[in-house]
Amino acid sequence: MIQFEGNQLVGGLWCSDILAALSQYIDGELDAPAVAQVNVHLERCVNCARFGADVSSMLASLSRQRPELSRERKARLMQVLSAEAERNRPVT
Amino acid sequence: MPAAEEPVAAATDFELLQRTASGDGLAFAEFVDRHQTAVFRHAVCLLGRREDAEDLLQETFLAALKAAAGYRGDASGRTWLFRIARNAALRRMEKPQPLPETDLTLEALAVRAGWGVANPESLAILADDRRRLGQALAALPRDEREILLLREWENLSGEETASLLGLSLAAMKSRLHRARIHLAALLRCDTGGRDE
Ligand SMILES: [Zn+2]
Repeated sequence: MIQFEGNQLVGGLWCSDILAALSQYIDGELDAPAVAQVNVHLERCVNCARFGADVSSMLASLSRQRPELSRERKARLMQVLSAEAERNRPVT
Repeated sequence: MPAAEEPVAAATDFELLQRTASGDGLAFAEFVDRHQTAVFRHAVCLLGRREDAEDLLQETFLAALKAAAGYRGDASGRTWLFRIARNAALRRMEKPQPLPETDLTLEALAVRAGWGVANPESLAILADDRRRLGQALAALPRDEREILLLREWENLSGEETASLLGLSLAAMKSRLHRARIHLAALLRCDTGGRDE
């Protein structure tokens, strides 16, 4: 089990506890007492504060880069699908 | 003949697919227009490469056209399409993923991602490099990439994501957490092999 050497107990939580709860913290899924406890750790532990902020901003960057379909690609798709829909049209 | 042409923009997905099944091309076009971008993004999640995703996008809507009459409206149109795309993607991925990294513990991944490192380069700056981010996403195990992007790109709720993937909510959250840390590790560790 790899442990980083600086794992420390601050505010009743180990850095490894903060790591384990990071997503729940970022997603707002912890209850108020748990959030308060994490915040105490973050105020006093530079490593966890930096890492947490770093992961959050990475996720923000990721969601800004949602791929979009070009107008040309949309037009081509529609062409293929319209032709297929036409072929499949039930005979009336 | 289908009933007199009603405006398609206001129709529900269920109505559009019913009309598609009875041969209404306009209704199908509206359905495609409504969901194509989300399906495309989901295809990128599944396959990791934009070019493959474009093929899967077309394949998904062709399958949807054939299956339109079978849509019962119990899942949203988008989720229904995601299922079709997912099944098609799983069929074409016959090779198992050779990824030694999946053996790493969460802490080992976090250390690679800069946890406990004094002055690491910002992950956001690394992620802002489109090419680098693309490579890191492609290197992520498929199940982790899928869950990460369903949340970060499609903003699917935890329940929707878990249900689409057939996971419990707890398993979904744990995989999402690992995926985030794993992506950070891949962003930071991607240093060699670049030709620019
Ligand atoms: Zn700490």
